Amino acid sequence: MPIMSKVTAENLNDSDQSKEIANLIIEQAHLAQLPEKDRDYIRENLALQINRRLGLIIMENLSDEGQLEYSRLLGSDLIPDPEKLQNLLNKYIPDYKEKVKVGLEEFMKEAVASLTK
Amino acid sequence: MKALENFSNFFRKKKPTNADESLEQKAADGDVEGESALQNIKLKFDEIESLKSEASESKNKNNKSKINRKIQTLKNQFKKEFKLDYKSDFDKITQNYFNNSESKPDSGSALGAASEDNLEEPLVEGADLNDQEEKNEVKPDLEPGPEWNYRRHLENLKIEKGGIQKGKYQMIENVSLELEKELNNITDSLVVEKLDNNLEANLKDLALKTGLKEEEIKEIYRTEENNLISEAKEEINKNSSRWGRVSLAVGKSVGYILATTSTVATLGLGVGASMSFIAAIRILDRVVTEKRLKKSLDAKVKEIKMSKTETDKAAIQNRLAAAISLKKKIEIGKVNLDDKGERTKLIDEYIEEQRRSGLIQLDPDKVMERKDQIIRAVEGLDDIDKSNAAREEKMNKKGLFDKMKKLEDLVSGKSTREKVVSTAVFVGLGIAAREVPGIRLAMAAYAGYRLGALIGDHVVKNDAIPEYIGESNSKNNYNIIRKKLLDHNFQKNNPEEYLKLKQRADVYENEKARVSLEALNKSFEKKLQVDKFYQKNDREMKIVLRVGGAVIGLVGGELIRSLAHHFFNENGASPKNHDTISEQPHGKGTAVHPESPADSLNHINKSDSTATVVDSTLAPKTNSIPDGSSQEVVPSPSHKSGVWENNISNKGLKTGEHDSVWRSTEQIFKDQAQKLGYKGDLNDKSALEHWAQSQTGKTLNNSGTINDKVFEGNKVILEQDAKGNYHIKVEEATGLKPGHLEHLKTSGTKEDNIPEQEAPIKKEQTNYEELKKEFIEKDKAAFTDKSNKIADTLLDQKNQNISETIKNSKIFSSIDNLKELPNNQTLNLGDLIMSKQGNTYNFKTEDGQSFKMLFNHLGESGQNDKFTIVSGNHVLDGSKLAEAIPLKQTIYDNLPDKRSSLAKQLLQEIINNKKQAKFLKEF
Repeated sequence: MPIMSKVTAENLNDSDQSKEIANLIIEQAHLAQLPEKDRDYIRENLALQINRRLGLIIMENLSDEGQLEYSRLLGSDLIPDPEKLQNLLNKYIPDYKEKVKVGLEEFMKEAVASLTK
Repeated sequence: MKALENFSNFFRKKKPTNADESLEQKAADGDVEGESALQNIKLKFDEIESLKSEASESKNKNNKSKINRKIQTLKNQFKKEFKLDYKSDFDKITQNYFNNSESKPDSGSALGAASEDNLEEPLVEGADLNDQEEKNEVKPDLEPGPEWNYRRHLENLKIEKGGIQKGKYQMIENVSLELEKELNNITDSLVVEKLDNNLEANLKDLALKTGLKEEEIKEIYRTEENNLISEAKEEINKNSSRWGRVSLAVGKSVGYILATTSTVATLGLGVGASMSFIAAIRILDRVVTEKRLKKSLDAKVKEIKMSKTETDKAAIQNRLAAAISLKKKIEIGKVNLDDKGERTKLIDEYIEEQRRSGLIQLDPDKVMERKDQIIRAVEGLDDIDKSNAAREEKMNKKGLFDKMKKLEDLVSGKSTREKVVSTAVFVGLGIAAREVPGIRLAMAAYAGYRLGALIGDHVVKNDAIPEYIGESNSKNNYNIIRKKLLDHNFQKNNPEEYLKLKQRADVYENEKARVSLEALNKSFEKKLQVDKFYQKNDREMKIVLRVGGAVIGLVGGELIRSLAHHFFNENGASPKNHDTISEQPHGKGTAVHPESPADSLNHINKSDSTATVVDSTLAPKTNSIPDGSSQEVVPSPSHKSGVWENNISNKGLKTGEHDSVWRSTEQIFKDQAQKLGYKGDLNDKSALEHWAQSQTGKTLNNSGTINDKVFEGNKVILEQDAKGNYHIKVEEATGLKPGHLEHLKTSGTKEDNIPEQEAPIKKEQTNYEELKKEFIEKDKAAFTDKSNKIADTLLDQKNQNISETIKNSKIFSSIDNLKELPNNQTLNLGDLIMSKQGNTYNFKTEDGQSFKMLFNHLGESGQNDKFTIVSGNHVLDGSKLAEAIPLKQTIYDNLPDKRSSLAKQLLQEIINNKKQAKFLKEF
């Protein structure tokens, strides 16, 4: 399982946390022995699903007004500006960090369970 | 040659069989035509057999595959030309030839006999591909007659019942061989700079010949195109800014998901799982990534296409064949892909098909395990997708996308399905959200520390994590900086400022993480003691996850390198420096540096033993933060260019203690803390020491190998380079010349007069394969053997109070941390009790023999074994490698005579253990 060493070899300030979580899910699901290409595929797929869940967690916790504002914030892009997003979160979901923690925890349990069935 | 003899016999000897009688008759009749035919058969037989020998001897996988294809082509020709199935036994071929001549002189079919032979020779697991191909040769679909096995029979029934055209292409090798030319044409289109004008026609042609829908063939082709695009994105990604990488990450991930270079990916796409998800991320990719990078991406794709070799082309061709085969399997099986059982069967069969065709190589012992992993991955990812999709559906029902009508236009127009759009929106939101500092850190905590404790609800309570993790109140300058860093325009317009701020943010994160790590680990240790999950699992791996995870989650590469130095590589051979700071360009406010190291030395203040700043000019300007934040919140990295020194001296040290490069470097950092960037309280000795040690670790890590480091009187020189990084070098002063010991070591001379105080530590061998080999082959035996030697030597050191040393060492925790002593033992000071797997062992620490036993126990411990060592009112609770290293290190550090054989053996032991630990961490 060379996952850890791979991570330590990178500059982690630039790392993508969703992929690191994905890597650890792979380990926990005992899929780390798969060939590298398979592992890469699973990691990338999981990472996007993690991002998707993250988006869901936020959207589920936004009020109607917040959702409306988010749709305005999107402008012409599907990925909003993080700074504007933070302002929106501060305004509409003051405890968003806790919400994210709880939501991610749920996702990770689900993911490990799904991959170890 | 047996075959040749047999061949001749047909013409020369009389045999009791009908076939031979017939042959004899034919020969007697001067059946020149029959003889000529058999000669041709023999020639072809020899050619095929010769190629088979060549294939079996070839070590090159691609070459082997190429020969195998040629063999198959010849076999097909053989069958077509002689109306006979090919057999590796020439007797059987001739027998069939004559049987056919007699029984079916005009039918031209030898299938009856061939089938019989196939039944006589069942498929052998792990047999040579040539033999397998021979035995599994597929008959044309809907062909009557006995079948080679029941499975094929059922398949043929399905083909017949379902009226499936070209069912034979469910077999990968049939696609590869019979459609070689077509696949070649399509592959060529993928590796030439300009699109082939005939591509459309070629795809249509392939659809026709395989009986697949044109759209299915196009999908297969597009998937290969995506592989190229994914590769291009990865290349571009290497040179992109962080935000660039964020958007590129979408494309990269999409590339991986749409690509079929892995079995899981092929199946994931092939069986149609998660199709709405795939469609959604395609949209995201198109809108986000490709729109931004169209030009550079096109150029890179062209470049990659041109770099493809023949081997790459063969791999593409194989994947195309495999994808066609899978589509045919689905068509033939009429698989209900929503039915997991059906899908699992299909996946199982497909893996088997790939294995048999040589596209994947699996150790026979691992076939079941690998299949299980692949099936779990494909099914698991589908489940995860469904779970997210169900939540989206809920949101959709609440009318979320009524508020976002304009997205329909944004992504691809009115025809876009709502749920596909919604998926793209959620993924996009998630990608942006993870860049928000609070969320980023919350995720980081999970990515590292918390996931290690995930299964079984063993999650550390929030109060275990220091309050600043995830904090982002408006007063926190760190977050102001992070916000700046996230601003594309700021990055674009102020690249220098951006890099400076980034550097400061990184330093801040590292510093905070350093402090938090201890708290996290302490909490984790408590958890370990009561947590049954960890007790019954591989404890060491969890510890690795814990430490590595916490670091990964919370900090950057800096701390990791520092930890790597402390734990694995005292000589600076730890992971390569990937520090972004080192890549920082220097603009205004950057230090003016000496021209060369030699110039640097000219600035050295010659005052003895006291570290002295020679050049401390040009601290970084702090007005780079527009809001006027001070440097007190975010420690600024030192940009000072300078040289400091400290002489190696044992003066003032206790008996048995010695100065070293490490100590001298640490001393410089302590003495010059503020000037070298320390922002903490100088009166807080513990924090200062921690900081100095961390800086020392980093510095030595940057300094390469330092030979013969500790000659008293030599000078440790700390320099700061133009990029703000510190380095150490050792200069000859009144002490012996550095490198002196190395010379003596290599010449094999032993000189007792040399004031050696620390054996030289050679740069660790970091070759992964070697480490792995060493660990697997020698670990246990080597550990036990060396431990014995150490213990033997300890017998000679009775006069040392090792018991006291160990008892007082930092590796032992307070006894309060251990709820129950092993077997309710009552301890006396100096007692050493080890509990392992429910058994308790007593040792006398004053007694070398006890140490021998102790080390033997440690050596015999498996990675899963837990042990507890109690000494006096202290406890060491751990597993073999994780705790044996500091234990030995402590003993070594406290040995008064570093020249002793004990010291050297201990040192070697420590180095070996660190290698093992490093290997385990990477494993």
